Amino acid sequence: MKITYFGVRGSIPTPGKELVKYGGNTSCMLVETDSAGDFIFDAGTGIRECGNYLMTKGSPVDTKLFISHTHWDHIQGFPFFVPSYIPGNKLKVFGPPSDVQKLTIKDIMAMQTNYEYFPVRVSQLGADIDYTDTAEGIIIEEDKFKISACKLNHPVNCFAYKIECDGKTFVYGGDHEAYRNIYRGDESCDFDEEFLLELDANADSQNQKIADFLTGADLVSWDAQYTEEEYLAKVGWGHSSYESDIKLAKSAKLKRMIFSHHDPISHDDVLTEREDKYKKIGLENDIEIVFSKEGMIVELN
Amino acid sequence: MEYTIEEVLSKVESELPSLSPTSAKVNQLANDINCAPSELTRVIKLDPVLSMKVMRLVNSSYIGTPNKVVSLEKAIIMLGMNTIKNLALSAAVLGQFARTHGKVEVFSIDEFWVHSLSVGVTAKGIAVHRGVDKRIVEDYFIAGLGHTMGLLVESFFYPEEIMEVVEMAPKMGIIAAEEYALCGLNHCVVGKALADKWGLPDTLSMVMEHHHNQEYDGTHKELVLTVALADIICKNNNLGLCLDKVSLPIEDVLLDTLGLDENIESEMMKSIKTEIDKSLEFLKI
Repeated sequence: MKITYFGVRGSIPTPGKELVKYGGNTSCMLVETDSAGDFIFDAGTGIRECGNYLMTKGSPVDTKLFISHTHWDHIQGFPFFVPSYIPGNKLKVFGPPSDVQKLTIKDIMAMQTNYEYFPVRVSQLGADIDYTDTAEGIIIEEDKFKISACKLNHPVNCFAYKIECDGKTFVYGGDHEAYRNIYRGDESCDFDEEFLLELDANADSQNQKIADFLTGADLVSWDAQYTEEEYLAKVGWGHSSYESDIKLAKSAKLKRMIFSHHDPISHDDVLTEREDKYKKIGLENDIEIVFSKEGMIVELN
Repeated sequence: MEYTIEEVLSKVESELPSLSPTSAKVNQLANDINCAPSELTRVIKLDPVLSMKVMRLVNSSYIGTPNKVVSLEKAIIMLGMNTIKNLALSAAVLGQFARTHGKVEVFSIDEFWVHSLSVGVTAKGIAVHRGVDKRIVEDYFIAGLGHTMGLLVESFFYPEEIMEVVEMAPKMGIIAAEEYALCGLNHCVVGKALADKWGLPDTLSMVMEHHHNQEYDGTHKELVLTVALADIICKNNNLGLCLDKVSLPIEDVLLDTLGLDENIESEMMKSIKTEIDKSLEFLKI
């Protein structure tokens, strides 16, 4: 299993000379397998280069795209995914429907190419594209591979995907903030301590469910946007801190974790310093931690 | 005119708007970026439609929750504040019951709201009085709040038919029976079908279906009978909407099953009005 990062930045593309080492394209990665073809995870601006790479592998391109959620930084590159324009290519898109507006993933992907936003409509794309709404559990299983999904905590319907193929297991996490009892510390809340403890337990059980989903994975790529200090100023924004990721990795008994979805304000020097720091903390906890970089390739053999 | 359950359910897909007594406060809080979770939760718990929509979302098939979620607070932790706010606002966009829909205002939505809230408060009060496990006391409130969603759905989509039922009420007595006679369905059947279609917990489904059956002996018996009792107490004391035109006696079998006596009615009435007043005060913006 070969994993290539084409976009590692969170929130918004960040060009600039201080952001070259880790890269400025938003979330996209490619998983190439020996026995089951290629799988793309998320369609941030990194998917443009991902598409160009797939074109060099030969035609027709026949691949699957898994969207973690439909915030801009995870779908914005889709109109620039060249293989989708070419007749004969095949693309299966899986992604979350809108839980509030009752829109399918197909509806949402089409909306970003409305007349006002983009000159080519999704309906004009030449490739054979079909769309499936993601729900928790196994979403596709064939002889050589299995993909399952786990709901995450983000301010929109969002999923992590687990791919099991060629004897290896890899998890791609979408954006996620550890579940917490949102009523603790709420000054206008009059719940008694007993009820607050019950709600603590409810949040804990949601976090445990995610840890259980990750347990057994050879590698997990996860949202790591902030330090704990930064996180405390951004509680409820739907992202993780390095510290909470290490806690999750320990809970899931992981050996390897890739920190990704870097904050737009985290320049190369900041991320380099943090990578050194958290690699050491990871080793102290028997976890190999790597910060994702655009173009980085990880082989799982 | 008769209508079928399939027809009702197909219409429900066009979505239900929020209730007028709560919509202004819902809008205010959902648009407040600094809104406290407890404040948002409180206003949702005052709106039966919004409460049931949150229950529908948290129990929907895209989340693989092993057990149905009944607690609104847990649902909001699981879904997140932003999703809840947007759910509330999207309901508000659909308008308000009885102000934008149909030619007939079948009954006062304000009265319906007071009844729903009163039954929720009373059911919870009875549960506390009976020493029900503290961890599920709020389930009694939610069940009482949403017990008569079926009637709201019918009046929204079939206002003329329900109007006819209401006009017949003085002749026949109990509205649930009249609905059957005139429409081929009643709000209990519609409520259960709605609960099942929306994937709501069994507790809510059973309450919506059986809240007029004082001899109910099926699953979630204590909860169903508590809501049935709360419903009668509120109607007999003119707390909000009452379409039944005969006095409803509380049967011994119901009191015996719940281990209560007839004093429960006066006991509950001591606190209900205060709770309603507090809610009205909270909803002022």
